[in-house]
Amino acid sequence: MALEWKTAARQWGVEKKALTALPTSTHPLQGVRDRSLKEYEPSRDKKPKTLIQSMVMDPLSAVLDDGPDPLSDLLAASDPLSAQTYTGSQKGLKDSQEEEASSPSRWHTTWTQTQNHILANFTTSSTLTFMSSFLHPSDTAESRAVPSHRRVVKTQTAVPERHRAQGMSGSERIRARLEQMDTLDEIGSGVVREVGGLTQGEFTNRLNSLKQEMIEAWNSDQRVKALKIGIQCVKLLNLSAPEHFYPSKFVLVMDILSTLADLVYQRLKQKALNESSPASNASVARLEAQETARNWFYKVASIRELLPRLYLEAALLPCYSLTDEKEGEQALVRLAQMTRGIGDPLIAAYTRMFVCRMGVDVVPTLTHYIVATIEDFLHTLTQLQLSLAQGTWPEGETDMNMGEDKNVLAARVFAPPLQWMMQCLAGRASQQELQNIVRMCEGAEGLGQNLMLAALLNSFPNDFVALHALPLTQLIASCLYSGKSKHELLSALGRCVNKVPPAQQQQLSLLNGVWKLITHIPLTNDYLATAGVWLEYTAKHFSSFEVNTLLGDVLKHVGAERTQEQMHYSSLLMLVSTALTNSTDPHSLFSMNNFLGLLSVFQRDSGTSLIPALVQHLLTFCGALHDSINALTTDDERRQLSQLIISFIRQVNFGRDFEQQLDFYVNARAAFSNLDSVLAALIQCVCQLAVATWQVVHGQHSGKTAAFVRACAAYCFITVPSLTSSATRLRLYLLSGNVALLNNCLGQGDACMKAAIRELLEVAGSQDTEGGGSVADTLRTLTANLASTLIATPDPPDASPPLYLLRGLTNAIHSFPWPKETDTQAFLSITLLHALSAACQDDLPYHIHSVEGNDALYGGDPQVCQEANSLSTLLLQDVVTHIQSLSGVHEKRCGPVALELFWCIVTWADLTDTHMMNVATLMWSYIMKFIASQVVKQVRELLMKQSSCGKKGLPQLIQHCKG
Amino acid sequence: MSITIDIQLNRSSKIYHPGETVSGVVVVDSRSDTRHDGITLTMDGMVSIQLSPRSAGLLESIVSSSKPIPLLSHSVAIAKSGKLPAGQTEIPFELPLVPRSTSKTLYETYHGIYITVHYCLHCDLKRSLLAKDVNKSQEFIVEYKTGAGGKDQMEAVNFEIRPETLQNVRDRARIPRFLVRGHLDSVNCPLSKPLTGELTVCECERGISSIELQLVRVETCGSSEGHTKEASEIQNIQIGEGDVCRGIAIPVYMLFPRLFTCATTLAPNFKIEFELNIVIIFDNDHLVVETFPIKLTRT
Repeated sequence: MALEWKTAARQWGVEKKALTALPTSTHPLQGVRDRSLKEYEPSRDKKPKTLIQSMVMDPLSAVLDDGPDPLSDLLAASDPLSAQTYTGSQKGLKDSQEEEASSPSRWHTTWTQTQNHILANFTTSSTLTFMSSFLHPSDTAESRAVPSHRRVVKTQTAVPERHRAQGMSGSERIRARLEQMDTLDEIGSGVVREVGGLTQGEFTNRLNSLKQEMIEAWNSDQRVKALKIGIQCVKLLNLSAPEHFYPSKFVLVMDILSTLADLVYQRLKQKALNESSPASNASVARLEAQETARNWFYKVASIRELLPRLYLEAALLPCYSLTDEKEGEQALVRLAQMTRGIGDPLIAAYTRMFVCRMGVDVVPTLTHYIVATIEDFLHTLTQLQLSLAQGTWPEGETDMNMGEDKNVLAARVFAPPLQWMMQCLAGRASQQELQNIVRMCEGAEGLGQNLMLAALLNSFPNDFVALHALPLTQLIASCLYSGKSKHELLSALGRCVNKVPPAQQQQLSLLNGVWKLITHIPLTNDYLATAGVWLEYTAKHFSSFEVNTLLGDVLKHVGAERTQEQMHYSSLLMLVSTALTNSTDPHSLFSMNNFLGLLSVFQRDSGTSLIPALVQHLLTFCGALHDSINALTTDDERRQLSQLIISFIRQVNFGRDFEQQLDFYVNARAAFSNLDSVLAALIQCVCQLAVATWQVVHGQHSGKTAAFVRACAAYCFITVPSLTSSATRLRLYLLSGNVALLNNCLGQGDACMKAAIRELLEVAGSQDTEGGGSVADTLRTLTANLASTLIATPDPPDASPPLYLLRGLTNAIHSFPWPKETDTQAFLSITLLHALSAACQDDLPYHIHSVEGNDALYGGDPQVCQEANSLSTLLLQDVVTHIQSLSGVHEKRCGPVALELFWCIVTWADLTDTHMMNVATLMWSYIMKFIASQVVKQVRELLMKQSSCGKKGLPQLIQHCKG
Repeated sequence: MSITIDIQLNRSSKIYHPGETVSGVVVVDSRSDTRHDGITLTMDGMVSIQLSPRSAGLLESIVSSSKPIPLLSHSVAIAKSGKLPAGQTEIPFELPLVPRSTSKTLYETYHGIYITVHYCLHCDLKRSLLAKDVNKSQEFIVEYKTGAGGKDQMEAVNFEIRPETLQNVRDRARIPRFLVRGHLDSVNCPLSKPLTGELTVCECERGISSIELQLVRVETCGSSEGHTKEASEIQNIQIGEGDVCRGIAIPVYMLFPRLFTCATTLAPNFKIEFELNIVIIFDNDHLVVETFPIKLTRT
């Protein structure tokens, strides 16, 4: 069968149909869904799948076939947020019912923070001793596995209770009593086991298992046993060494205690509520619960040893809410005073912390006891300093405390309790009380003052600190103790004034006072950290001049040890970003020599300072980022870095100074040659720049702008080849070709198009799709895009047969060795058939602004039409042979190709020609054979609509199709 | 066919004051119908005194110990002989808490070592010859009415302990130099209130290992023909632990235990008195004791 393509002339004016907009009252997706449901519902059982396969099916409804519309889904489902708030409020209600005297949860969270902080910071590697009568036999067995030199297991048998007052004098009696006391709480269980040589982990495990046992004991109604376990745990706190583990020990024991307290409280609560099921007995049950509570108080009050008694009484404070709140308040104040009886300052400090912790929960409004407690704390510290001086503190040997300096150790372990107490105070005390604290702070000395200052700066409200910033600075200056170092205090102060600035007239004197101290910080790291905090303050409240002065000082410090600059890179970088983000006038910063000096620390080799400096420096930073990429960099990191750099590049805008902008892009290209996506973004930016130029001149280039856009085109043309992804190259060639043509740079445009045609084959050859879709899909869209551009592209002046570029593209597709198992070539050929048919029309369907198309160049030369027809014939042959070569299992693939070709023929070909008519009927037979009947029906309907435009030969074809 | 008896008092605290009425129910729980020969309820109160074998001699102590002094004894039949239905039967009762004779007084419940004042309700269910009788007793507590003892003066007692104030010291040279000052808010202590005061270690050469409060009972038995006096500890409360901070006032605070104390009692043939010891123990285990007689009251 002889195949020949004949293009029909199209009459654009006749065919053109204006689209009219109609208002709609229904949601489009909603409508689709309803319809599809209605349609499918009855046929659901039969064969719903065939519907989905149909090609012309609405994609939206196809998606919706599986489930309801996502939008209405959202509407129908109960709003998750409101549901959450509902359950939240319910829960809150329940909570508030459960614990009437609960304090704001904010305090619980800060407490948890404090706990975690302590656990993380106070650890030990030395061995610990655990003493309890509740150790399981397995525990001791386990400890036997410990190497013998580390293991100590002592067994004490309870001293048999001697008959009281049997031939003993008063003092003897007391001595005997004392001996007994140690075992009093274990009466019944008899044996106290002491296990030494435990590591911290083992110690913690043991405590946790005790806690578990306590809960079990409680649940099996052995309340006394539970209480005894609680007491024994508190007794562990009686040993302060090793000091640097004590805080963690405290937290662990506290956890057990609060569990116990909670158990007691919940039980009393239940007693008061639940057992009163008959309403008449409500008051009786309440009385009973009160009686039980009082029993607990009596029981706890008779504990001989001070520490367990104090801790347990404090833990049971919440139970006073059942009996008498007033009593609870008094008990709290009394407990706070009783901590004075504890001799060891460390143990006392943590006991105070615990009392305050419970107090905050029970009576949130009361503060005076906290003030008194802090006063006591300071008092004990004076005694501590004596023993520090005498070397009697810490009790643990130096190696036990891991050789930490004892002054530093003291500051470290004493800080959390004070910090906590101050925090409790800060939230609720009056200004007057806070001022009293400041006065106390002034009166204190040494360690006490040091700790007080730190706690005050860290926990007091920022506005209060800001108000007293000047006197506090003087205090910091005069505080000569090696605990919390000055830079920490200064940083804390800085953070406060950064949040709330002091009064206007104080700002400068504060800065002067502080900076005097900062310059004398010996270690560069500390110095930089502190300077960073205060730089923020300076940048916020002062001009660039002051910032410059500060930076000068920083440079002097860093410059002194030039070789170690690298070590401080991160902190220096922090300084730069602080200065930039907080400065009121970041631009003027760049005119400051010290800021530039700081930047030059990073630049190392680049001494030249380009204009404008800001962009140059940022470019340098990005360059540093880029240079950090090496063979080990993961793809993800590369992507992130590229994103960062691209966003920076997109930010840069020189306004109307287009040449400067291009210059910047050139520099950027040089700097980021390793990152493909950055280069691609740069090319896009340059294209954008060219189009912006075109917009500025309204499409009429002057000599200068023409030269500039040519430069842009050249930039693109030489940048694209360095990319690795061929699909990206193709895309960018197309883009830059389009832009070049738009800007009347015909030579550059042609070059880009030629390159694009070459690139097309590269893409076909490679499997590179830029990560999206299959190669075939990418090729189809890109080829269609390229071909439609070529329709409007004028032939180069020296091309002898017309349609130079289209011919090139046709030849490329025709001659490429396409793999047999795909239909890509057929589809591409059909695409080209469209393009060729359009290109040989007397009037081209569209033109590029101010560029003469081929129609104007050739003026309806029949040579064009001939050329197009011969090329089309070639392609048509390709397609038809391809269809005919498909057989067996591949036969089905004929359908879509035939459908495409059929439409192409209907749209473009001259149907009066018998050849064309033959091909069309042939295709129709394929369509009937391989395409689903619904689609065939739709195709037929579409054909009928086409017939109205009066194309010759179409009625015959329709006749054929109907028959 | 088991029967259990339970005596339930109408006060959960089980505390009654002289002159009041003790009331409650006797609950008889039986699986099946039971015949019985009557149920009686007896209220007893007695003082038992045991002489210390150490001071009174072994023989005498056994002889006189065996004779408890009855204070009160009432007996009522709360059910005539008859038949009890299966299940729970509640029989309410009321008994006046008054002494046997006007000359006797009802002392407060007290459980000491040598002296015990004990009040009890017994319930007996008599059965025919073949079956065993069923008994149940229930202790209840007698306390003086609050305010019954009249108003005592609340007067602070100051004290100062120095090496010079110590008595019976053998070797004064070995005593470290120290000074402890303080006060007790009162030595007339209502039992329901804690004992309070303050104590300050002003100075002390040696380290201190503990400061303790010791509550001691002093029981005196017998009358004119020779009596024995015994002191023993009730409870010991630590108020200072370790080398306490100098110059800071440590609170003295002690709750009186409910079981082992009663109002200070001076009866014709026995006495129950209390003392408070403040004990300061030094780090070499030497200790210093200061004693304060205290009067416990129900006010």
